[in-house]
Amino acid sequence: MNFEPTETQALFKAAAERHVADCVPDLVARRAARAETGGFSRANWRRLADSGLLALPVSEAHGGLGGGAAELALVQEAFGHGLAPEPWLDVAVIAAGLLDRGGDDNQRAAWLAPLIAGETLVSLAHAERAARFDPGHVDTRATVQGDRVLLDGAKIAVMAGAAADALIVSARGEAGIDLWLVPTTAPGVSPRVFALADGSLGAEIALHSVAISAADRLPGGWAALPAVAARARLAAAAEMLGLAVLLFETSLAYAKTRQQFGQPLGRFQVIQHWLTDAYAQVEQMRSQVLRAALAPEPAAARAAAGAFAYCAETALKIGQMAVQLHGGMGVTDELVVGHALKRLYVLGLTFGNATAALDAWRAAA
Amino acid sequence: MDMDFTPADLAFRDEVRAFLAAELPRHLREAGVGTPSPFAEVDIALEWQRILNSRGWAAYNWPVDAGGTGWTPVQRYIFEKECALADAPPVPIHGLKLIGPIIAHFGTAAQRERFLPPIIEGTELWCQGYSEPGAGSDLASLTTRAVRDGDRYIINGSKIWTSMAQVADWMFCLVRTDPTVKPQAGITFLLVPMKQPGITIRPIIGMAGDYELNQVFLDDAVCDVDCRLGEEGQGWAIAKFLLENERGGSCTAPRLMADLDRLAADAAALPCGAGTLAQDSEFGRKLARLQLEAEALETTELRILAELAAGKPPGPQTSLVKLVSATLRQHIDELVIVAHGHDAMQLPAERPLYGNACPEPVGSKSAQMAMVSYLNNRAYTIFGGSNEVQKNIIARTVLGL
Repeated sequence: MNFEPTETQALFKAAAERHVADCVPDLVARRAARAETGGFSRANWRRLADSGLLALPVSEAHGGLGGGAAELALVQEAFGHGLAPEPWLDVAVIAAGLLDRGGDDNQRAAWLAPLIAGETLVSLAHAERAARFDPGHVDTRATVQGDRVLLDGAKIAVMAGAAADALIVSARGEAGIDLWLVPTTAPGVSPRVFALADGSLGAEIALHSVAISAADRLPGGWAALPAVAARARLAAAAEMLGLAVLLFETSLAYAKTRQQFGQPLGRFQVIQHWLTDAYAQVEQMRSQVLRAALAPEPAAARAAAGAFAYCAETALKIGQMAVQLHGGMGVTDELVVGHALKRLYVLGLTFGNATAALDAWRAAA
Repeated sequence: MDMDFTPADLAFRDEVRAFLAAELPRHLREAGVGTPSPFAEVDIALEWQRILNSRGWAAYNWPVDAGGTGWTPVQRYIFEKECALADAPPVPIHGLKLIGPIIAHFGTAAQRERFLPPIIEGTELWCQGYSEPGAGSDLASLTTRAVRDGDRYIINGSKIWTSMAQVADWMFCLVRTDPTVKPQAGITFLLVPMKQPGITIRPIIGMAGDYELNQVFLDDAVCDVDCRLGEEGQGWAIAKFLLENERGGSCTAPRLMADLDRLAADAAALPCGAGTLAQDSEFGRKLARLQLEAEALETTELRILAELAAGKPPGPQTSLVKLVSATLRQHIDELVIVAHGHDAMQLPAERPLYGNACPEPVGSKSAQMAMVSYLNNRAYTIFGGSNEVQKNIIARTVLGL
């Protein structure tokens, strides 16, 4: 039993920490990145490629560094703690994970290799409004017409949707649900880009007779989705942990310096007990993330759902406490507090919300 | 990073399992299930202790040179976990788990020789004299006075919430020897014989009907100077060490998880409309949230264990475990009450709740235990330092507030 990172794990963690320290050291830098086309800085994205962090989640057989759950969790926690604006989770963990595990060699050469190099962005277009949080509910149709396949439907919550060069679209055909690779420039793909709470630019995307070929089907895509979703849930839980640590540290520092009634806020017992609760909650979140990150493979998906459910509910409590503790300043856009709270809400909808993850955890018992 | 036990630890776990399978008799397991508090009836606790002692495992958190097992923190954790899973009853904790290791650490050679063997053999029982009517959470304000009189102390005052005083031979006791210095500095740690004219005991019946608690009156009670642990004025430091020693490397999650497993199994059998309670989403989600909390607590305890194994001392951060664990204990009991519906109203007056004296349960054994456990376990967030005191400790010593 050993909860200390290995030397290699510590190096990846340090690389992620260095990334946020260099690229988004403060809210000014973060706002500047958010203002760029697509909602994040492409220059910073290329730095992620240079430091190997885009390759980390991808298997070594397919040009990646073969990072496991523990490596992902360490990196994503650092991104959470640094409020990193890049869509690492959506592109490098989810989309790259699907290409890695479910694509064929041609698809990986065309999309995964440039994704790892930081040149191309791919995003998953799976969620639909009527599905709510049921991952098996897909109304988008894939119709075979000669040597072409036509996609028709509407996708929502496409993360990094403003910057994506290609989408991985789930659609129901004769043989069931499949995942399809679709360039965003294909005729019939109509994105509507909108701003999300965390400042990123997402999209909902209408698909009208989008013509692709049978070769654009990810052969093992749909089968790979549960395992990729599990890694995404773990990574999201780890980012929530990083955000919760940030919220807790910020609140503790404020309680020690802010003076009211002639003494620091932290001298008041009610404030001490709030912060003690938050401290305990952060430690319990860390335990859940560690548990999921270190779970043996057969139990990994369930453990990730449990960690996600636990962290999503617990981190929000800490976020709301942090706003309250900061008083009037807490409700402004000038502190990391609000930015972290907003990011928590967006993260909380990764492959369904906390309750959906809780139900998945229960169902897998 | 890994959460795996070493092959040696796994072999030890198998050894403990085999021992429990062979040596923990059915009636003691039933007593474990039917004991709604951290204290078993004396006959049960001592029978279990004798079985453990015949294997050399009674003093399992003591060092070897004091007669203990010398187990590592991980081995202690594994042992306690397996005991919880096997429904083993509690051992007499005041002697074996609380004062024994403290005498081993702070005691003179003569004190170790005098006190430790009877604790291990179960021939002397102990109770703890900390709280007083005027000193609960504010323990340092205690006023029970001990005055030196030649080679003995004369003690006057009163202790309260003294669990198992009615059967104890000795009380380890915090007394004030110097009222002129700051409160913590004037406290001394004494080992006081209970069977003497200067001591009278008033029973206090708990709201579930159990008799565990007492008020102990000390009226010119006496105790030899040889029975002072450490020096005069060192009592507060010893008591603090005891608390940290008790909490450091604690193993509370396995029993909570076992109780949650029992609740889940009961819910799968409890009718609810056309189906079972387990199929009710609201109940199922509440149960799942508690299970996730218990999992997290188990990992938190293992993280502290890993630190201890790496040679770091148990520190005040272990207040965290007490806080989380006690709160979770009560949330589980609350959900058990919900689960058993109308049957949770039953509150049998008979004790113990196993063996011939136990009435036939209404509904199920779990339903019979629901209200008793719920009521008794309200004390979890009060004894051993209330939740509020734990938070004060964390705020001061960990958060620096």
